[in-house]
Amino acid sequence: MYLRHFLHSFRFHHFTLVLMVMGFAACSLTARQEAAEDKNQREVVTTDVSTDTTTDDSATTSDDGAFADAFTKTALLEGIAQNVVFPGYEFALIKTKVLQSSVQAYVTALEAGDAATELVAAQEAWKAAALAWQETELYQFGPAADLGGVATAMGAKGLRKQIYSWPLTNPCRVDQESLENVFSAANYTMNELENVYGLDAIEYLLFNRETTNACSSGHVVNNTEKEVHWAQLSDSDIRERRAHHALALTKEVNRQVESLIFAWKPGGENYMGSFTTAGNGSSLFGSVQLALNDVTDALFYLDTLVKDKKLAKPAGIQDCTAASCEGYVESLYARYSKEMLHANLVGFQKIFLGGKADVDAIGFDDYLVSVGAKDLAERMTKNIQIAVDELSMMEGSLYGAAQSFSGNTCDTDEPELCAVYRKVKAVTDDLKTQFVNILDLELPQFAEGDND
Amino acid sequence: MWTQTKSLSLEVDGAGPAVFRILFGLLGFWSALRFILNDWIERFFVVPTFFFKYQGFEWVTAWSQTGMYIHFGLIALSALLVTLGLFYRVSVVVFFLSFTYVEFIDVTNYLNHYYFISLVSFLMIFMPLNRCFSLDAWFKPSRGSGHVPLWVLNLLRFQVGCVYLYAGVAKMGADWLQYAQPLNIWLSPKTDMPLVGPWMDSLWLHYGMSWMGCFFDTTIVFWLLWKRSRPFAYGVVVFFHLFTGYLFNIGLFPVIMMASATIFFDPSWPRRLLGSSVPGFSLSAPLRPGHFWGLHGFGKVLILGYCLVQLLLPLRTFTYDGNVLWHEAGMRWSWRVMVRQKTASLTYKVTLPKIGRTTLVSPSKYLTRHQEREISTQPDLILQLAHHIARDFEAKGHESVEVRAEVTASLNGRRAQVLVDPTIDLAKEEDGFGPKSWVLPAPTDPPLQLNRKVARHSL
Repeated sequence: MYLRHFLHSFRFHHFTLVLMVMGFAACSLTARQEAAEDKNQREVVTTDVSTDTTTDDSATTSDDGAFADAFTKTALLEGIAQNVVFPGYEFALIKTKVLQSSVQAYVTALEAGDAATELVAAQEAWKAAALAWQETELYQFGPAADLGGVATAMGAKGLRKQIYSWPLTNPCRVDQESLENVFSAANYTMNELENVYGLDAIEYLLFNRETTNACSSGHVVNNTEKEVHWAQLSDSDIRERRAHHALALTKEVNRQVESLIFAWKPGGENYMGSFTTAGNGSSLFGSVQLALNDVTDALFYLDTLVKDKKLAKPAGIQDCTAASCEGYVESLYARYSKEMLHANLVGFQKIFLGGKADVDAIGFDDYLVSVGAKDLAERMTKNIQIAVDELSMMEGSLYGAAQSFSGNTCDTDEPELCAVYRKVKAVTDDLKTQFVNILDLELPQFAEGDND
Repeated sequence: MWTQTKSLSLEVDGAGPAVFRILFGLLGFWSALRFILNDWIERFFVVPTFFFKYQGFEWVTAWSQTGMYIHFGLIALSALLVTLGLFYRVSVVVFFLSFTYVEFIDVTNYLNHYYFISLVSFLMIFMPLNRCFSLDAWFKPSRGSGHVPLWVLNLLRFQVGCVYLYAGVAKMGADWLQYAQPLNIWLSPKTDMPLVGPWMDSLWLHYGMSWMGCFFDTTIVFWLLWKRSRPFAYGVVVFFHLFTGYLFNIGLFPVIMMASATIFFDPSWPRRLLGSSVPGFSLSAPLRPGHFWGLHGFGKVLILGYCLVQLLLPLRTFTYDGNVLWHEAGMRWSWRVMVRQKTASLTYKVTLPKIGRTTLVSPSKYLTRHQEREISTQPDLILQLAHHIARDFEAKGHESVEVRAEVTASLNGRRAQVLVDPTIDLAKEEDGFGPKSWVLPAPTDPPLQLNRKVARHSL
């Protein structure tokens, strides 16, 4: 009877009160549980990533986060734009112009007869241009960024792929274009996929000294019943055709780098202005964080392309279980992968430190120090330098190292290729975890979330 | 204002619940429209080649691109019909099934407010919310008594109350209260926001918002139920959700909760607001007060059973040892909203005994970046992908494939720590509701605290 009376008078807000009491009880239980766990777990030896990350005190840089006190995020953006990215593009243009004149000299010499010296000069010019470009490869935000996909960066114009499209390359299609002799037409690249032009295609044209083509025997290029086919070309025809093709593509690369610079520079399309005024009247970025998110997104190149595709795949560490995987190296014809990889790391280092390692500048290291994450700033600064040094010390080509690699998952620093891989991974692990975590930097949001 | 019908079910004015129906339908329509207009259908259901399944719902798969657009069109249409109160019962059943189906396609798309929408639409199937302000009632006036059973009102209040209460309970941890994390991380970079920006990197604000957020979530239901505090409490609800919606990318969640909180008003509030003189806004019969359930027999058992499940499900995490933010067991279906900042780096190590090779596999080989980001921090999903990778290699002719995960995670700013035991062959581990022995203990050190007024966009 009393129970019935109680139930009858039991109203909804009584029920709510019961729920609240339950909630607080659960809370205090959780807090006690957590405290007990803390106590217990301090006695448990947990594996920390730091244990497999060798730190080397000798790896030091002059940039030690000294700007932390004066740090502002706008200063960081300005530093990235004015001291790192834009000068990087300007330097790349200087080198691609040299490349164009060198290839022009090679073409001229080839038409006159012997061109061995000019070819070597053109090849060296390509290497210099490739290195200059590789330093900027990570800067795929703004006009360089890819168009389309699920996370288009603000101000993207897809210009990077017009200049260098690796790993999207297709030597067979390059040969086909050489054969069809259509590369001299105005706006030739407008109607082509990016895998037939750019620095990667030029590498093939300048460094591949075989006069065979890269297509299968059944490909239309090798179909002798066609009006135009490869077998019609003599060796000298092929060399000459490829030289002219390289020259046409070099001009196009120059034009695209100029477009990129125009898109960035004040007085041009002024992406730099929009970038550096993010959150302060920018036409593209409503907040500084949005601009930094685009930069961070671009920095993941170090993980997905440098570590996974340029290093691990050709070595057979990742995504390749064939007997030999060295064919996946980035620079298959010039055998310049190691140097290009080094340039990537230097590019990453510059954007992290805000400039060259031996120059004090405002960079992400200062950002980290300024928010109280000095340990992380120092660890990443050191690990980047270690990775750069490790690669510098590596002997021979990456192709050779991958070729002689026995195939394991690099649980130790032997052989040298593994040491490089592990040093790069030490950087990317921090980048993907604590770095983006504490700076709340992440991929641009695709959709709503409630952080579940 | 209460009454008693022939079925002895006590009834209340159906105006408030009817407005709840209208708002709910509109939000459902808006939600479906967002997917269509923002290309999310392609991103989340067309581009991915692998989907993470819920146990028991492995049969749920994505349709073709056209099929998915038709599916979302169906969600939008049924939501619109729910709003209008036209063919209400059929519409709400279709909405519940079609919306929940989408939710079950891929675990990486789980959001608490999607779960909330599914639960409420399920409850609405059994609720006569078309008796008021509906085309059904307009076409067939005999249906439009204007009353709904009391349990309808209370069950909806209970459901909304659970969201708030357990969201509050989820915040009662050391990271949230003692270190103001993850708000400290999330708010610090927002110094360039208009008006509030200058305070966003202030530690007092992070602590204040953490404690106030916890207090708000835990007690707001009581303040909304108490007549005297209700107007002020709803004002706080609106401010809280508008502010959090302004600060964070949480989509429709704030609007959904602001709309849902109207269920705590006196059920006659729309009539009072619009006036009984307006046609269709006056009740045809007087009402009188009743007690909590207003329902007898089997219906009461079902409702009590439902409530019990809703009460116990979020508490299941307390049956697992360790920190739920780390091992994530009991994280879903528990209203743990906005409680952790977690990022991870994940690589699989696949051993192929047949050819004597071990190779690393990046999750990106199988997943979109959104999926990779989501699963890297969630052990059960890491396990699912490990199984998929094993099956994939076996399909290519390899036997006895072993899959291990190398994953380090950073929780609330801490230095990354190993999340999953890298020695365990996950291909041999089964998923289940029990604790996962291969998930390593949570970090014991306190989270990093961003403790300086920095990161200003200008001096």
